Amino acid sequence: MAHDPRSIVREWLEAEDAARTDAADRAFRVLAAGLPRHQPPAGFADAVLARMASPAAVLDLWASWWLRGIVGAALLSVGVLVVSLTGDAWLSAVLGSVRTVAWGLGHAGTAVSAWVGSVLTAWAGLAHVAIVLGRLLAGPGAILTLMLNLTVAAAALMALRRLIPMPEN
Amino acid sequence: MHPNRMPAEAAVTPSDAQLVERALDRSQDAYRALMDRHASAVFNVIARMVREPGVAEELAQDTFVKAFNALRSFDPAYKFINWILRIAHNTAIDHLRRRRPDTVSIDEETPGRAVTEALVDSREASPFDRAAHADLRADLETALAQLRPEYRRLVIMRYLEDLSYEDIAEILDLPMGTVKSHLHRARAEMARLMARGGWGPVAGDTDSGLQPAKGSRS
Repeated sequence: MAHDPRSIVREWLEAEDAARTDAADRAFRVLAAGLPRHQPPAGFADAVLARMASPAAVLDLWASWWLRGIVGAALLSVGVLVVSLTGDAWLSAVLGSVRTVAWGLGHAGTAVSAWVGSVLTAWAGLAHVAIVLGRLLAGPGAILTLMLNLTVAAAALMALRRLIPMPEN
Repeated sequence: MHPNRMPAEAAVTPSDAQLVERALDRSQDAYRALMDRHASAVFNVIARMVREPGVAEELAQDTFVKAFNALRSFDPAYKFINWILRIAHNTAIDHLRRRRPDTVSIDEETPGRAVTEALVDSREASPFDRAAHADLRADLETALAQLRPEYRRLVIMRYLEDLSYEDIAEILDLPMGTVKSHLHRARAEMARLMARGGWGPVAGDTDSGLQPAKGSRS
């Protein structure tokens, strides 16, 4: 094989043109070996380690059950301590807040149910009107009128077709 | 112990699997060693896939951060380089999908040249860097850049990273036959682009006789 890159290009292209796959592969491999490799910039590893250090370490630490247990126990003990220190006053304040929230939610529920009731009443009125109209249209008078209209329309159409001359081809 | 004498096991280069084990024990040296070994391949694949130097660095960092955070899922039965190149490839493809469809028309003049020049700072010295072959290198780079990403990734892995067909099939999760046939098409496509650039006969053209070529010696 030639050593001059230009000659190798010629060999490669001629091999591709003649469908000599192995020769084309060999020649192209030589050419590709001459292409430069892109290198990561200096400090790449430091940047990666800096990026993965803190969040990953915290997540990894939190994944351990013993740490979760310690944090849970600490929170529980703090809660018990707060309750024991503040006593009834603290508890009644919390219960009062809960009662206020529950009262607010109850009133909101009443308002919503009243609004739904009024909407349903309006719908009932519309449904009643629809039923009355339906009964009127379903009666024999309405059907007879409809049939009469259709008959008159058909007769008029036939008369018009006789009056209007057909175009000649 | 003599100060210049190293323990026997310290002189042996640890395998990737051993480094992974140490990295799982949070050894910073192990992380660094893995990056020293594979950052070049990861960066080269990504840089040639996305063709944006700044983005390539960020995506290469993403690749290692993802890999190190998911190190427990690495199966030592497989090669670490294949595993991390798969992550690198997926990261690059995700970026290309987010950015825009990256299929470049072969009729376009020289879309890869500007990007190739922009990447020039991040590459090693090359035999083609000599002035006499600079145009050849530039045309090869441009032809490679003009390939669609599905073909470009194969050329990069096979011919620039020197991976086997089996490794490429594993990294890309493709059948071996597909890897071979796509590589053949990719190389043929590059040959057509080079021929159109004046380097030789244009395969498939009706007047495919040898035209005045850049490679001919006059």
